Amino acid sequence: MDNILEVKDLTKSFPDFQLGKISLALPRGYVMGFVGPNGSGKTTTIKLIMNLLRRDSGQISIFSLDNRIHEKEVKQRIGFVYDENYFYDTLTLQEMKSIIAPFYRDWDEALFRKYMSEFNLPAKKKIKDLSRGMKMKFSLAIALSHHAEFIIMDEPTSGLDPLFRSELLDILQGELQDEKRGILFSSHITSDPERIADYICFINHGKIVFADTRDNILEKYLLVKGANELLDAASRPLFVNVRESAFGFEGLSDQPGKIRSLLGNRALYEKPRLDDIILHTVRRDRYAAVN
Amino acid sequence: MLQLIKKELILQKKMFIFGLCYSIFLFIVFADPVFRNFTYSMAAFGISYITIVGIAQAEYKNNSDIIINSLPITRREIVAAKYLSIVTCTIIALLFVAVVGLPFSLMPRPFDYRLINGSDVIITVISVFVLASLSLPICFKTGAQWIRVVNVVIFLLIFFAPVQIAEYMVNNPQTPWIRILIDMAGSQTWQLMLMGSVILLIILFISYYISLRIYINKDF
Repeated sequence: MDNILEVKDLTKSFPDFQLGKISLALPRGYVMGFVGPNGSGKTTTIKLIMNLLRRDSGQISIFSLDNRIHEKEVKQRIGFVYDENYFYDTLTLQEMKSIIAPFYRDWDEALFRKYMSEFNLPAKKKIKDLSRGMKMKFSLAIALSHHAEFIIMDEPTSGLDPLFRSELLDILQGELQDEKRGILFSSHITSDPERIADYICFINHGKIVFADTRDNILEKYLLVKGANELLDAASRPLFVNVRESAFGFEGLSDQPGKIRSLLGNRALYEKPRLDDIILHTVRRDRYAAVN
Repeated sequence: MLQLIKKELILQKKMFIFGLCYSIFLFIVFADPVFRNFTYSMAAFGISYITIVGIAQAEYKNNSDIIINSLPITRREIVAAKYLSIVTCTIIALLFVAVVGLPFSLMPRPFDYRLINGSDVIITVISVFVLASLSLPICFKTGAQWIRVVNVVIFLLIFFAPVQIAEYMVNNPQTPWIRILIDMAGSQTWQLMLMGSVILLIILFISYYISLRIYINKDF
């Protein structure tokens, strides 16, 4: 399969944080949700992919080209949307566009105007006078207007109200369904990538916990609920994490077959949401770190 | 590269309007015979200074290095464009003051300025290039947070140091290097200008090299 992005054994150290030997791959035509709690290493990874940070070791290939050696060529084909506004806020949208557009050989002015109109963006308004959601839409309009083959979005939905988030996800679903494109979409709100991503990559404490197709991940885990007496030396090792209360337990198991045959109909089984998987995994890691 | 210079011009646009008002103000305030010979270069230097500081602060405020470095362009080109934009900025500032000086040249005393001449251009180029050479590496290193403080110090140095140096030269005419300079100024003007240009270019090149090293190794 043609991978649009390949990251291998990537490391980067800061005084207070380490990104440790992460590897991931995104095939062309797919959307990858890059999820993890705040401070887990999502933005660091994205900045390394964009060559905004210098890596300590490892390899990053985009379109099978090294992202540093072929930086200009690679960036010609990337569209980016960041979590903050890094545009010059005293300029109007039109002025900002006139700065960015000439850098791209495939800039499509008609397409840009189409997005400006669809997103109801006022070309003559200053960037500082736009709401956060409007700024995000402007970033998206820029990212989509030069026929980018790889779209990188770092927390595009964070800080947006639910209505705007939903609208933005609708836009993404509508506009980004292109088999020639690959999309990397980071978020700490797991329900967003879950809605549109084919692949999920979960990062925690600077390490990849899992990276697989969304369906494989959701099938791999099972949410189990039952009375506390069911938790014993045989059942506990089959759980990733268990949350106990006076009324019973809720546990996430990554061995669904074994846990079903062990507990039978004494427990309730549910298909977990991505949120459940991540929550339990983060809690397990925290528990492990404390002990 | 040209796109980056165009970006600087778009950002400079509004600052040039301020610079235009500033140069008119200078032409009125410095009509005194003591200052009037330097009004053109002071105004052009002032406009360049305001523009350089203004752009650096706009970039710092918005952390725009992130956007610029995400575009298909290399860090080497970003640094080179910054230095080239100083040249365009100086040319535009000189054009501005030349145009502002025109109507003044037709006015009665005390506003009857002469037209801009070669020495105004040379003084402006030297002072702006020295300012840029010293402040740009600091700007690339600190991300413009110290740019205003540093530039004020350099600005004052450029304004007051020449007076102190001239006074020292008048009081110590027998010092060997001063004698050489005075001799050259009298008989070998072109050699002196060439030497000055070479020194200026060396300063600029060293500054560019330091900026490049800093920027290439920077994490955003």
